[in-house]
Amino acid sequence: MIRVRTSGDQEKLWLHYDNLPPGTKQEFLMTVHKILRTTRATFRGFFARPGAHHFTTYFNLTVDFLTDFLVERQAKLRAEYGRDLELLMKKNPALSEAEVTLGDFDDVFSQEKARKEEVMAAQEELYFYVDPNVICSGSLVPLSAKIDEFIDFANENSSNAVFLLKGDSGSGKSLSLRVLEQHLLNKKRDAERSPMPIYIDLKQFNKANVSRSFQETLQKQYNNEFDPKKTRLVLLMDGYDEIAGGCQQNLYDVQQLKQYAQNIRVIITCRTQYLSTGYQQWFKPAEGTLKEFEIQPFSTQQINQYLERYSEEAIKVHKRSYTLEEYQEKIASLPNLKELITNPFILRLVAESLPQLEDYLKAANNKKKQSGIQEEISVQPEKIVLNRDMRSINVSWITGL
Amino acid sequence: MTNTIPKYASIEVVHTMSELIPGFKTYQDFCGKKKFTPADPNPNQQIKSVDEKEVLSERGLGQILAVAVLINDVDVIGGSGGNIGFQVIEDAVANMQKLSRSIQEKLFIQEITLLLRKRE
Repeated sequence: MIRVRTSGDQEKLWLHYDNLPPGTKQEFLMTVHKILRTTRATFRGFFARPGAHHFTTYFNLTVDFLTDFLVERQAKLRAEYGRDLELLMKKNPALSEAEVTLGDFDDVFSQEKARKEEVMAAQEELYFYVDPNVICSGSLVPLSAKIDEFIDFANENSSNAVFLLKGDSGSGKSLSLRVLEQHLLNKKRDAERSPMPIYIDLKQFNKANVSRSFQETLQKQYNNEFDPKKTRLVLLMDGYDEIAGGCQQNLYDVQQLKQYAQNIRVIITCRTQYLSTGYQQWFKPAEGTLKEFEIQPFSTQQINQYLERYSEEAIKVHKRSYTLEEYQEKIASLPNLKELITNPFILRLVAESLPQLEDYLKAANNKKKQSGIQEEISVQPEKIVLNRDMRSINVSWITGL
Repeated sequence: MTNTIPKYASIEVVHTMSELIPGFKTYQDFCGKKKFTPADPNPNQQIKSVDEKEVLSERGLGQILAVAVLINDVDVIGGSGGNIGFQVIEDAVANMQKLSRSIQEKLFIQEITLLLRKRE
């Protein structure tokens, strides 16, 4: 029995699984099969991926809560439909073949593999990183320059201050923090007295517990190895806008960070769209200063730098890709696309999708020609990215590839 | 995610897919509010237009129902088929025959369906 509506006569609220057409039953069971083979890591990745913060913020739930919820429901599905699934597999040899395919898939997506892929993807992003620009006194300045200036402990102006890094979704705020973290860790390896980066993933917190985010991160992620009274720390608070349930608390003040002012530097990232009138008070220390910078769209030079690097690496690993010149040509041939690819996220999406899209269109148009249909399929560039906040939806979904 | 997590059962969720997918139609609009039966949404794996002139083969409802059970969405179809719809696609295998690919209106269920569909 599957409940399909919330109102109406009691007997009409439910759909009887046994009454479904055979094809639908098969779809249902095959999907149950996929669900049962989905690992916790995949579920977690689904909620934790960039752009999926709407799930956590809307309901004030953490990624872990949502993951646990699905894992719990997965067990329920296994109990309810496991036997039907087993019977179906036994009766239908074609499905057993599909089982073999799924077996391959599961091997590819085993938890360990998923973790490795996650690490590799993050490393790739760091590798392709292009230092974005921010505006300072009316001119474009590399972000790294402003950050270096801020985290310089000899600079008195950065004491008892917060560096707010603003930017659109996908503009590279988190990536910039990750790059900074790597940079500081490398420096610390070379010189032990260099400041230690403390990465605080704010989306792991909600509005009730975010006021303990610094202490909890120090304790859980860094085993209390670093005492802000004795060690210089750079606090990288990533995703203020992703705190579950929304937040307008001043994390510097509520965590009483002023007491460590000489030893810490605080950088917070936040999506520009999240900030409403008077937002400065959410960040500015009560007796200190707020320095805010907004990441600017990539320039043509930065776009080319990214695509060139992407292309070189893709060719090395035999990944479908274009050369920089081919990318430039394709981008120029698709109206409006150039205006869309001004941040690292969309650039990556386009760099990966354009060659696949061309292959798909060729195959689909060949098929149409064979069927005597003259009209050619084409895709509008805006549909390639569709909606910045729905990052799982890309060209493969639009085209059905 | 309405009705998904008991604590949030009454929170309404915006219908998203109809805003994004070209040609999206709800079952309610296509089959007619009075004629559509949520307990038997696709008899013979087909859906019939309100004037009964058009009959489309349906694909994908089974996937959506399985995901609905996973996330405990107890309003997956809705009283008269307003929470679910379809997009007409061409079936390459059956010589471009028209097929209706079922799509759930809510983002959460649709995203999980897509996550699983990527395995096909």
